[in-house]
Amino acid sequence: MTPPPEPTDLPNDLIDNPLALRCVEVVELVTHYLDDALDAHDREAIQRHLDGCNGCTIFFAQIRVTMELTAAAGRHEPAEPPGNLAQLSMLVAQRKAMPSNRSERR
Amino acid sequence: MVVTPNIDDPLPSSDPTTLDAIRGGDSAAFEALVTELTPGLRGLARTYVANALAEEVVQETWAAVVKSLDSFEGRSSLKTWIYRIMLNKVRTLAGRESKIVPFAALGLAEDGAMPSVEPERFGDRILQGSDWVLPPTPWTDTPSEEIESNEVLSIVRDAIDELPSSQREVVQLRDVQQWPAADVCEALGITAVNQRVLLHRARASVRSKVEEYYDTAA
Repeated sequence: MTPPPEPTDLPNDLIDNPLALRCVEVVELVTHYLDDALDAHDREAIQRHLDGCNGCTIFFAQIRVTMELTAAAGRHEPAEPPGNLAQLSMLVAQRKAMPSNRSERR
Repeated sequence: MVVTPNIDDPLPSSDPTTLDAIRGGDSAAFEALVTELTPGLRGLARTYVANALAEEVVQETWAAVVKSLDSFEGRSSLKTWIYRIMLNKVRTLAGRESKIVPFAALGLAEDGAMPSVEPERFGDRILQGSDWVLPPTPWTDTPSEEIESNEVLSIVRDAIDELPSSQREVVQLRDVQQWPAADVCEALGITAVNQRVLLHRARASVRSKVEEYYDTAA
């Protein structure tokens, strides 16, 4: 009796028939593509589709711009330290008085 | 501009000597770590709770880090350990269970029927080439300074705020804080596949909002 196959992260080929690849499928695979999470077969299928499809090429470009905009939109975090930093620093400094092997203990 | 860390000068969180230095009472090493990680912790905490509470969560997180220095076993990186402490606190505070996110909460169940692009924008199957009926209009005609205008950035911020929290935390770590995928999976306790699905859903939703904005403005 063969054990059931282990669930894998990704099927080897997400794309059954590259020639019949539809735009509606391609737009779902942008992040896979950008994260380099596709195998060579699927990656090539996407590349070939993009070569012949202006709409999906624009969509891919817009996802990239969206990523840049998201990075820019979030870059305004206040840099000031937390209010309890001085107190916590003091606690850390007090560790100097602890036995030196303290940090070795797990 | 994206800040690229200098490989020759490791950040405190990725410097293997940081933990031992702090355990040995080096308060400067601790302060350097706090300075590096606090803005990111704050940013992620603010995706769950209001600013004042986020600040409180960040302070409690650092207090817990100092208290637990000797119990950290190094099974994850220092950074993801600290993020997990923060996430446990903020999810509890936000009334959400901090255990492993169930499948339904990943946004797959409710979003399963919500594709990246409205299906009516595509036509009938053709053999090869494009089946877009309403293809996206390029944004590249727009000057780049205009692309990153304050108005667009505020559209993007609103779009992120409206995402389900599971998508918001992934997009916050991946696209705002520029974490590698593996670190995000470790900090959030999700698989690579789930991480990618959540990230893609988030990017697609934000793209739609930006597209709506440009189409209206055009």
